[in-house]
Amino acid sequence: MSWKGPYRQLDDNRFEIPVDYRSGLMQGKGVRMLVPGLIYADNSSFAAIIADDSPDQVANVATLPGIVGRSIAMPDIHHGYGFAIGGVAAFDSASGVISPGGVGYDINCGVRLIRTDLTEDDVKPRISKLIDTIFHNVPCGVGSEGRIRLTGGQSDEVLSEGAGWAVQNGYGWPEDLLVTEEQGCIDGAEPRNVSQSAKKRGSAQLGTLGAGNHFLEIQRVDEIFDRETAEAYGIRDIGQVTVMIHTGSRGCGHQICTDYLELMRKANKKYGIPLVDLELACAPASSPEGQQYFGAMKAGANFAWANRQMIMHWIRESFEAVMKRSARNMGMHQVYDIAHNMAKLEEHEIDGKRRWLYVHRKGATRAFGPGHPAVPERYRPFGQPVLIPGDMGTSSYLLAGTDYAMREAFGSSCHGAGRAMSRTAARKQHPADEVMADLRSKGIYLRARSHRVISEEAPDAYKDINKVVDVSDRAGIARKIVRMTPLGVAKG
Amino acid sequence: MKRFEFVEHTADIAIKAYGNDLAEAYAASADAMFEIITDGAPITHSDEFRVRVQSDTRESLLVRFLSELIVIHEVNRVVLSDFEVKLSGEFSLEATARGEPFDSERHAQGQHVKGVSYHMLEIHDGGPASESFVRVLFDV
Repeated sequence: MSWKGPYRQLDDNRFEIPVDYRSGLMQGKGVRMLVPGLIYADNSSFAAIIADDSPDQVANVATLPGIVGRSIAMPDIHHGYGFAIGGVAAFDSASGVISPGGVGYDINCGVRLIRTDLTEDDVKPRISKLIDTIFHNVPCGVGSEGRIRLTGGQSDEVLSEGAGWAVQNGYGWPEDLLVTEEQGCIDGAEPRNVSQSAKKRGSAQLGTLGAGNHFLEIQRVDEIFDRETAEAYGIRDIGQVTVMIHTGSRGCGHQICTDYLELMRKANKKYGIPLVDLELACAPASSPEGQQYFGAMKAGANFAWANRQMIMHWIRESFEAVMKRSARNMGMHQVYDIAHNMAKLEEHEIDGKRRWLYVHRKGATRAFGPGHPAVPERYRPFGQPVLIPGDMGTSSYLLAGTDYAMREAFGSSCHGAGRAMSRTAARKQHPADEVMADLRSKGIYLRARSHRVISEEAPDAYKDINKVVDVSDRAGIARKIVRMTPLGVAKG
Repeated sequence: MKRFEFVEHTADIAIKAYGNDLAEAYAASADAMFEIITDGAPITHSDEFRVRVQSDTRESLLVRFLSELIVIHEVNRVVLSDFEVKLSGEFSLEATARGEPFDSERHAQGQHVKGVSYHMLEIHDGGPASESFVRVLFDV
């Protein structure tokens, strides 16, 4: 399905979908775009983007009531449900909407980065032991069960308190919270808006990685692009070892999304919001339904922060067991933790005026610029750290948010590479043993629960992360600071 | 004989499930979902499960049915197969399934299904004369 609609190239890294574009579907439903679409891409990546219908999804989002600025697509955009993955859309807090589809199933899927004082020479001889220990200590894979089982009351505490609950219960250090988006607990979470099914799915899965594209990775610093900022983030040398966690809110968030897609379907009819695509189902953000979802979504987000907090704790313990040194002695401090599936109420400047907006980022990362009060104090002069997970076998990135992103993209940037190949095609083209041999030849040790996942997550099945990040950097929505490459990977 | 097939999709997994009537197609879509979860590992029939679902549209009935099975799978830690579905009218169904406790040695080779999407959802009632089918996309 390739896209035939109009577009205008603004410069080397930006394409615009004009506001007067009206697809057949829009005409049929009697809706029109309220703002233009903006796609961050260079010529070669734009060709790939218009090969699927994600630009149409960008245009469709622009028809939703109260949308402000532009309907934005990041360089890693690909086809999603209703909303494209890699999309950013901001809606006026009074006249706009909120939509679970603009957040996705995996609420607060995100990334956490830990730095160490270890070098690759310290770690390489023990890489298999380290990954095997982590693989043992962090439950992962389909059907994995958490190491603890929450009681009903504890479940509500996790949903209310997020990573803070985990720290209070001995998982990690208080300082970790200072370098977590929202300090690991977003205000206004409403556990009572979360169904029993979601709580039950969650309570069995707290402290689990999951499967699919989620991973735990021991990395080496491969390139430093900006020494001063890198140093502020705790990265000093090539070969320095870092650890990355990529996971989200597990069954808890998935069920919240499932429940509220149903509620929104009804609310949508009640409020008479015309939809070009049913999966854009939404409610006025200020309506009871809108606020009910927002409170539940925040609870799901807090679950994800607690989840990553616990996993990090077990990673520190795994390093301690293998390296026979304390985590503090190894300098295992958290660099940052960031969400890439979330809706947030944020204040932005639009045409010289401060406005409160519901900013939806689905497969997009918050990337606040220097000086923003939400950026941890010690990073504030440099901008917020932005963590971009690669696929196994390639690179991951540490970027910094920019002023330009604040003005142009509601302080947002890309989130990863995005799939380029279906899972079926990947399984045909990349047998698991070949993928493992290829990784071994690159010196990467892989441990995975499922052979199917190894095939499906083969590096070739993803877009080139380097290109995605380069477009973000050149377009100015984030600055390249550090590139990391994997030494060892644990997957579901 | 398998009564479903996988449909090519870049990001997630779509299936088309067939039956002599809609109820059979719904049952086949549930079988397909557990094939995704277990990667087709055999499932023994030690336990029996019942599900009752109602809704206000055909589409949401199917989505709710499959979503409910995900809840049972995750909360009770079981894998299911051998579905039988009875429709009462268009918007209400009752289903039985057989299954066994989830075994990470045998059942963890597939994909974690996050949710059942309305995207690409298609329900075709072939009536008495021809085959019925449903198309469902699972977010994985």
